[in-house]
Amino acid sequence: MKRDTKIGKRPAVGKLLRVLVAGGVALAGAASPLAAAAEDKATPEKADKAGTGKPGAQGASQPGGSDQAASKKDGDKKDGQKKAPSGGEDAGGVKGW
Amino acid sequence: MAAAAWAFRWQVELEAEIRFGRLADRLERSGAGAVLVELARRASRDERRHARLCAAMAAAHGPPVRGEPPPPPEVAPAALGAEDALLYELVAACCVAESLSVAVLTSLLAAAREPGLRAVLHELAEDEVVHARLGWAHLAVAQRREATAFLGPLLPAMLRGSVDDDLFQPVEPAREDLALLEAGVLPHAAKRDLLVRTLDEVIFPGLEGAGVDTGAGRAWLAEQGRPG
Repeated sequence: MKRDTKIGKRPAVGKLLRVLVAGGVALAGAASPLAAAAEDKATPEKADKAGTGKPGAQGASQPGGSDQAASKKDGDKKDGQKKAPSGGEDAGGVKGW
Repeated sequence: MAAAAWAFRWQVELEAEIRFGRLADRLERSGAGAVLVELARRASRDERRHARLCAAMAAAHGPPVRGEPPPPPEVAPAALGAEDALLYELVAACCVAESLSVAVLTSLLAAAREPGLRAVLHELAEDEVVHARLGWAHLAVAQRREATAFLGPLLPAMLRGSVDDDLFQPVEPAREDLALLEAGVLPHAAKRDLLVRTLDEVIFPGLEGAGVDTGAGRAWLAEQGRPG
């Protein structure tokens, strides 16, 4: 059978989706300590204690609108990185193949 | 052309070694599950091995690679807190970059005929699947605490930084030569089309499933003048 040297076959992207994304989701089930801690934070009392300021908040430290206390607390943990103005202008990406 | 491509990949892998090592430390500090921490550490070790493979491939096609590239820069916006910054970097490095790499490697494997090349591509692809899953797993954990929405507006910058600067530009004919496949390199247009398809059919749906609004990311992609 003659092998086609061209990229005539579309990668099975549906299968790729399952392998990568679903596989990762399944793996997340094994990350139980973080999941359990996250569920703890979801209660209003514990969320306040954790300093998010908003129970069950989405992205508690969003750029441009972040909770200052949470940002400062988290920023201290961030390997000494300097805090820049919000807005995500300094957001970058990672190059792969 | 092939030598340059493999030399670039060598740099990418060395940077990934450092990045995954850094991510492992941050995951551990954040209280992430031991499974994810170990995956990140394993990824770091894998990438060092990948770098050696890429260096060998570069040397097989041209001058040997020399030195080591500088450490990878931080990619998360500085205004993000530690948890969000960690998630941002994992999404950028794994959900986007590693998933795109898997797509490229899968395509190259389908076209490769030389056994030595096939062996290298297969080894790389096997590992990159695991590396991508690390990001999707951490994203799934973040979704449970409804902490993924901040990523949406940041997708254009993340995607812009994940692709070659000239990916959506015409290039010289030598970079479109199908013979590049024999050296394990995708012709330029094929790479562009593959990346677009992988974003559309794998990465965006995966992000949406994790509560990330991909509207800004899709708009960015549409602006790049992709066909169709």
